[in-house]
Amino acid sequence: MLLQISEPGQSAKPHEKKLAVGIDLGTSNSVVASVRSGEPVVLADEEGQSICPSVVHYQASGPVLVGHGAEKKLLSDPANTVSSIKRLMGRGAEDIGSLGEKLPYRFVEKDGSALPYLSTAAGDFSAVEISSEILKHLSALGERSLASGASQHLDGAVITVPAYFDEAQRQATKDAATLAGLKVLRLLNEPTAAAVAYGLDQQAEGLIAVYDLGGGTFDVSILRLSKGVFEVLSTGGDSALGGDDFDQLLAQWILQQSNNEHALSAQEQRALLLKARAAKEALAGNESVDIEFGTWQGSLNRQQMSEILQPLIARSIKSCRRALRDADVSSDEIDNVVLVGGSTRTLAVREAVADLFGREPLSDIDPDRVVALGAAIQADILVGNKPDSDMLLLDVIPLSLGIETMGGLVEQIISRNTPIPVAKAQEFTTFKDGQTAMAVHVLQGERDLVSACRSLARFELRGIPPMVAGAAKIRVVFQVDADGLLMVSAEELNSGVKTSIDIKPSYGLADDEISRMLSESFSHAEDDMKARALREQQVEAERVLEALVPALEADGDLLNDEEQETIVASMERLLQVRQSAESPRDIEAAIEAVAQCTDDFAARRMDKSIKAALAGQSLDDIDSE
Amino acid sequence: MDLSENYFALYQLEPSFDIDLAALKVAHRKLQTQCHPDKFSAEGAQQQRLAVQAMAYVNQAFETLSVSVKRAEYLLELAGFEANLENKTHQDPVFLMQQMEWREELSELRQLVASDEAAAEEKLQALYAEQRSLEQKIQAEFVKCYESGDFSACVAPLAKMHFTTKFAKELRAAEDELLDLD
Repeated sequence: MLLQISEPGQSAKPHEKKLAVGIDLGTSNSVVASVRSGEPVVLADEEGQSICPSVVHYQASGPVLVGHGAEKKLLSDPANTVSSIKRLMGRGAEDIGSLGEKLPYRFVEKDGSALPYLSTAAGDFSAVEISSEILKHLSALGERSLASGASQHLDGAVITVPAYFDEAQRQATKDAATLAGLKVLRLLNEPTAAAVAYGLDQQAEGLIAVYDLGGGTFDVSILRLSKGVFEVLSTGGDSALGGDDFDQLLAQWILQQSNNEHALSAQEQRALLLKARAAKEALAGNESVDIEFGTWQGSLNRQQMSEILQPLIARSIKSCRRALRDADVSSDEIDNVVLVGGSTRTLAVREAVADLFGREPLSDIDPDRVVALGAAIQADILVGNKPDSDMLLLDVIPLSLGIETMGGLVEQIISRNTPIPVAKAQEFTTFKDGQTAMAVHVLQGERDLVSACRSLARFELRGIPPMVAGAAKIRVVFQVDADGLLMVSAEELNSGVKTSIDIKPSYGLADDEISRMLSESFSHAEDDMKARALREQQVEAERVLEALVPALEADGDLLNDEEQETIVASMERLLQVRQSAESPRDIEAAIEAVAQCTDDFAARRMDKSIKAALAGQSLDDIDSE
Repeated sequence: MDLSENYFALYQLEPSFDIDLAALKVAHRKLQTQCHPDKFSAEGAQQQRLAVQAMAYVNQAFETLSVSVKRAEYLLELAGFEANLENKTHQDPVFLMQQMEWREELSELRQLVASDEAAAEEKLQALYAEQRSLEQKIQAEFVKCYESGDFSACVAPLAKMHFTTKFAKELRAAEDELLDLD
């Protein structure tokens, strides 16, 4: 009876491989990779290019260009050609000035949005929308190179983010993926992804330090590898330190040397930065390099460059020492040091890292590709292609979460380097008679003052039952999931009333903004949007059914006959709706119905598996008894 | 999962202050492996949500049991005794003296950090040692009261534990300064 559900071959066959990719959405470059025949490989486009510049070019008419095509427009059309957009993810209008550089774009403000919008020939766009163009490009590339037979669409993607990204930056990345129509299996920290690629490749065990210096961000993570479990002990970094900053410093040096006095145009500014970058890259392989700027001609050698970059490199080394201390390990206990990110090609960086850890760092896997490869490995597992995998990633929250209290102070709720997922509850009370609403301001950072931390969001709790002042006990739960994303729920304990919560993200998109952008981006292809939504719900329905059938087979004894019948009936209904429905809503409703009558079953199974874990027996042992 | 089950029972331990931390860690790793949301990624949104909750609960349980002052507080909570810690340490004049002494030592340490690193290091290690020895004494005091079932007498050592924990944190912050890591 139960087996019939999977027998007619109407739902996807469990053995059919699902299409999943890992995407390294970098500041300068992005890479997409996937596991093929058991090996992670980077996917190349039709021209054989596997590294896609994270550059987006907008034209007054015609398609949006991404990658190499857009890169060609950097010099000729700087105002409509956006590079390094990652630096603006999760940032507000007032942050632009503090990025320490002049950006050649025109920013505009929009009513009701805290986000800066870039004004281009094709319209005004937020960082989330611009990033989503890069993701769309990569996801299309992935579909073209992986699609076979029945599977034409990606089933999911793991997208990497700097470990040191705060919650707003993570949420912005996830929103960009949503806009690009990607199902996000996980936001994975870049150093963790690199550790996965190395760990599985070399079957390493022990302590590993990952030094990841990319185009715009710096991360360091200390991990313990043991039997397929990658446990992050601590992480640190600087979400505004990278190769771009190297370029800026070198550009300043060139400017000084050339005695330039006139203000640079956007075009000259861009040309100068490109020269600085070219000089830096040339010095990775040569002792010295000749530079021309305007009428000035000169040269730069490695020693000079090391000195110019010294303050930035020292900042990264200090973060490493901080991370070691947070992990309670000393530098000589580290078994392996891994270099990630294009900026680790700079010799001065490699020397500083080798000096700190007292050993030569590893860079056997291409530092530009290693993150995407690690992400691909996890994507393959999370999408369900490797059910027997022992691999498990245990990550941490990089920055403490807290709430604003009296006098502009922050009270920490979850401290940095706490393993995630994590939930902490805090109790509040009302201070006025009959008060029915209250506001909670959530911040992220290590300082005591609100003004020195990043504002994440303001949560407004409504629907508190009116009581005398101080009588209400409102329990607010702050939950951080495995993606590092925050969810807040609240309940008044005396009455049991769940209060509703309005979220105002400080530097993010509100839900209605996302839906507006979604509908805009598909407005030329409404059918396409509908088809995609339908497909998504069908896939989710398959996932639910595929998971339930073996669950019922294994743990059917946790249910009485009546419960079993109800569940099977709801599954049959879902199977039928999945085949015939034309509206994604109908499938969604049928999935919800299944979820409702399997709620208890799911909880009982979780309970059983936990008990089994501690009894030192596998589930199979118990089943056979 | 029964999220109302107490943290000790979750790890199949009897409620007690003296627990085997290494064994706790091993059991915790087993639970993490069992209920991490990644283990349910192919099973739809509902199971995922449940796994996130279960994992958050397990992580919270581990933190509570592995940090001594939190474990002590939790033991009293399980015993149905709500410890109101306000002003409790002030009732013990000897401990009050100790607190004032440490405050002074700490500010001296801060000054040394800026002026004489070697002396600061020496003082830091001496204070760490003092802190550890007093902490052990207080914990023994707590265990004695707890095991005799006199929960109201547990409140005073618990309040002292809070103080020594806070002091250890401040020492660590001073050490950060000394290591130029703040």
